[in-house]
Amino acid sequence: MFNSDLLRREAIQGYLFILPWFIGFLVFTAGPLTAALGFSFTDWNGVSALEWIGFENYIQLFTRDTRFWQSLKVTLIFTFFYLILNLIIGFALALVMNQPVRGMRLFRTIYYLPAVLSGVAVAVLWSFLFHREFGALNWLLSFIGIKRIGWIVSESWALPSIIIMELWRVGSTIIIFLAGLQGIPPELYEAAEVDGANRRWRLWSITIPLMSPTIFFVLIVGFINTMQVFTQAYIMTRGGPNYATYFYSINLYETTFRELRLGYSSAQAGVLFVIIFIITLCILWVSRYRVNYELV
Amino acid sequence: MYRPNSGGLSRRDFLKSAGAMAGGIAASGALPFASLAQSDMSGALQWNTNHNTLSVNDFKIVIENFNEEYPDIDINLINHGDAAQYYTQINTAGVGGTLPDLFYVRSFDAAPFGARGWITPLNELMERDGMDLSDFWPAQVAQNSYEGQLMTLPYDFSNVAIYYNKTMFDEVGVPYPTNDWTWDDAFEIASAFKDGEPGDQTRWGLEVWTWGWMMMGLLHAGGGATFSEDNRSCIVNNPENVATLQRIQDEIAAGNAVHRGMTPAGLDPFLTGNIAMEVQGSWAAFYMLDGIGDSFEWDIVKLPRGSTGLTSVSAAGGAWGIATNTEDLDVAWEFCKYITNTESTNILISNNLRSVPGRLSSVPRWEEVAGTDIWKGRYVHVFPEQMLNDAINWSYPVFMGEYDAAWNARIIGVFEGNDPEEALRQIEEEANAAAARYFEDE
Amino acid sequence: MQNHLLTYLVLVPGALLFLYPLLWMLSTSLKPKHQIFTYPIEWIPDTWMWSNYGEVFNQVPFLTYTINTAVITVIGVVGTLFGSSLAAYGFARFRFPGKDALFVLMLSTMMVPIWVTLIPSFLMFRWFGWLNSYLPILVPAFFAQPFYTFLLRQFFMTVPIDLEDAARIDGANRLQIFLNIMLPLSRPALATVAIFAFFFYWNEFLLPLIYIQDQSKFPISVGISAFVSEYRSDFALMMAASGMALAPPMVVFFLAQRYFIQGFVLSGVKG
Repeated sequence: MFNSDLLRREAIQGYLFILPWFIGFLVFTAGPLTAALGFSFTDWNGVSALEWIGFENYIQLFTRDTRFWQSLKVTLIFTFFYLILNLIIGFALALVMNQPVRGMRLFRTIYYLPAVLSGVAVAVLWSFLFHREFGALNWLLSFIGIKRIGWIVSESWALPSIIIMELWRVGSTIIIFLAGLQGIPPELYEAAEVDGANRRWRLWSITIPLMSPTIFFVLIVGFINTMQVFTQAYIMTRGGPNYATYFYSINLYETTFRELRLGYSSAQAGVLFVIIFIITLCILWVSRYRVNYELV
Repeated sequence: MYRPNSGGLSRRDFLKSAGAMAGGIAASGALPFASLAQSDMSGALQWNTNHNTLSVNDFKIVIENFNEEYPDIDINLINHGDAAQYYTQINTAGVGGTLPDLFYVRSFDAAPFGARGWITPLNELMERDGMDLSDFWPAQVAQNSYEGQLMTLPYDFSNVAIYYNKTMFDEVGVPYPTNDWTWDDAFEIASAFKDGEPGDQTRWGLEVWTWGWMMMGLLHAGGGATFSEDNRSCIVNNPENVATLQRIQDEIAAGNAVHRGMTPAGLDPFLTGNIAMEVQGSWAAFYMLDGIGDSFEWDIVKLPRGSTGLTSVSAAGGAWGIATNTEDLDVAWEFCKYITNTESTNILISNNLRSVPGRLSSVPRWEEVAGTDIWKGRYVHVFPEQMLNDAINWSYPVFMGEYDAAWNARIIGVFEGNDPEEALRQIEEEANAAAARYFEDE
Repeated sequence: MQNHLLTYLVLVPGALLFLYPLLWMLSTSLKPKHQIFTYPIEWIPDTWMWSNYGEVFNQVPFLTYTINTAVITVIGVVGTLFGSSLAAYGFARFRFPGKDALFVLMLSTMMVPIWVTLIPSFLMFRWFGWLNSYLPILVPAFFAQPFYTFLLRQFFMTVPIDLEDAARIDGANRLQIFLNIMLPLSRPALATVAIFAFFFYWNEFLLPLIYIQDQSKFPISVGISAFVSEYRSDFALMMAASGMALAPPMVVFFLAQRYFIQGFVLSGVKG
């Protein structure tokens, strides 16, 4: 009796603590999301009367919309390569930056700087850098004998260009990894050193296993954000050339704000949500067998 | 239903009215504003624009002038120079029913915004105030109309010509282009400026642009149509258009021409003397004057004739629409009339030759400025002249925005070597899918 | 020593590569017009156009924008800390039915694309009468952000429970424990969240773009972006303006990076 009373009190207090979140969730997320879900079964341009059309939007999306499939393909390819490169480069740089050398504060600031930048200016700056004839990138490459690359005007280079631009902002990943690395107890390395373990062995048997939760965190958050990549790509290429950089969010934006097909775009957004949800669950599922929590 | 070319004048009527205006007769719309008595009309207006800073400075001058006559009307001007930001804002506000009282509406937007019921039809107000359409360019009236109603009052009306670097022509020893030239001539001349193999060049003969509406004229000059006569479907995939695009692709591949690609607007290789000729708009004349300075001599020449023998200039412009959700239609209308009257148009457009004015009665002022020393006798008159003689009196379909998006997505690929026929087929398909959405309810 | 040399061998060229675009931005912002678009590239301006920065300052109500941004950022950070820490404590320290499900629900809201809810939210805030104010941007901050709640919960779980138990025996209620024991102990984690939220609200762009109509209420992000897009034809000014917008967050990071990293270490970002 006493015990269940205590439990009930604890539960009520717990609910009270999460109540603000729950109210916010209902009002600012669930409400608009439900509305959007409702819109997705209608033909609506924001002005006309809502016309209920059942699953027609979804049927059209999956069966007759080539732009949808193209945008999905572009986004998944981009996400895959970007995430892997971001992970590798971020991890490697964090390892280097974890050395106690002079001037590290400055280096960290320099590497983090691009991650703080955003907006129109970055996109314009990079379209200038990527300019085939007058850009600073091709100019730099010309010193090592590389011929002019079309970058964002080339169908095959446009997507890699955006990956390069986004990798420039690897700073936030570095910071998270750096924090993870600093959280590894130095004793572990000292013990390994006593045992005569070499550098590579230490990396593979101490650092990476201990870092696996952080890697996993970066992967999940990175995945969710990358699937929604928009601003820079939109300003730089508008999804071109020939839909080579037509990200899912660009398609969503065009449907919403150019064509004002709000019912249809709600369906698109819903599908994106489900895709992100399923893939995130898959990553979670895989991670259960790969991520090492015990050591920490 | 959407009716293209409503209210158009024949060319003869038009020349007659142009002659009348040259005689200095201000057209009707300008007259009611002659008095300088202060009005006691009051209110507050939100005015949203999508312009560059020079234009915005002029907007502020016009607001000041307006407030001298209407001291009790507050104008809050917000400018978003970036088109994507502008449209995000307008579209969200449109759905929310919170559109700014007065806002910028391009030729391509008048029909879709009209169809959505966002902008107020103006016929009744114009009739009430005794205004007619005779002081506007007929093509612009057609473009700004929806279901027989004028939806917006014009700001500017633009077309394109070719700017060329005389100093570069002198250096290479090529005679200057003349107004009766053809695209064959243009590419022939352009080839003289190559300074290396394609891929190593730093100098090109001709830069071509990619805008959908502008290219409609170019395609027309080559004998190909873009839209059906009734503006209800896209027919851009035809052998004439394939040939026109194929030609440009070949010239680019040969290094005779270069396309604008995705170069940001402020970066112009013509300004730095790396390109001898550039297809550019009437709005760029002022910016050229400022940007080139004394670094080289330059002039403007008519757009070349296509294989049909026609120059076929495509025109488009900007105008001001009054939101249907405005709380005070009379105040908004008063301000809209004011910023589009002859005097304001002189300030906004003609005093600095920012494109071609949306009012014919502002053209004399424009011509006067064009004749001043700072323009050094350059052939800026080409823009109003082309508007009179070569502009095609067409309007844009209600699905122009979607057509433009489809066009932009494919065209650079074509200039970079993709099959033009395949690209045009896809553009046509996408544009017609959009058209079907607009017309399905009928 | 040899180790350090290797570190520098990686870091110095890497830093140059990372700085390269920014250096170009800086160089462009100081160039006269005719030098901006040249080939081969000229890095050093003929004449140093420091006046470009003065010009930006003259054209843009920079002070107003900065004050607006500061208001949004401070309230946003405070709201985030308030709402997120409350929820995090609830998820970290209480047992109640449906806790795991609710936690997963919260995390999954991170996956909702912004474009899905933009128009319904706009309609809702219009109905609230919140247009042309900071309320649509700031009020949700007080109702917990999933990412920060997640981070804080991870940290709270690492704090030994004994301290709280002791306070409970002394008769403190859970809110007092949260305020007097948990929050002071969590300063590094709160600092991390604060800095993250700082950058988030400092750069927030889309919401002010849609909700704010008065130029006098613009934050730097929207104001500079409007300026930059307006000055597209004046590249030097545009780059100068962007550089100026970049400066404050840069200084904040340089000064605060110790807390930033430390907070992360302590919150032990674990799945």
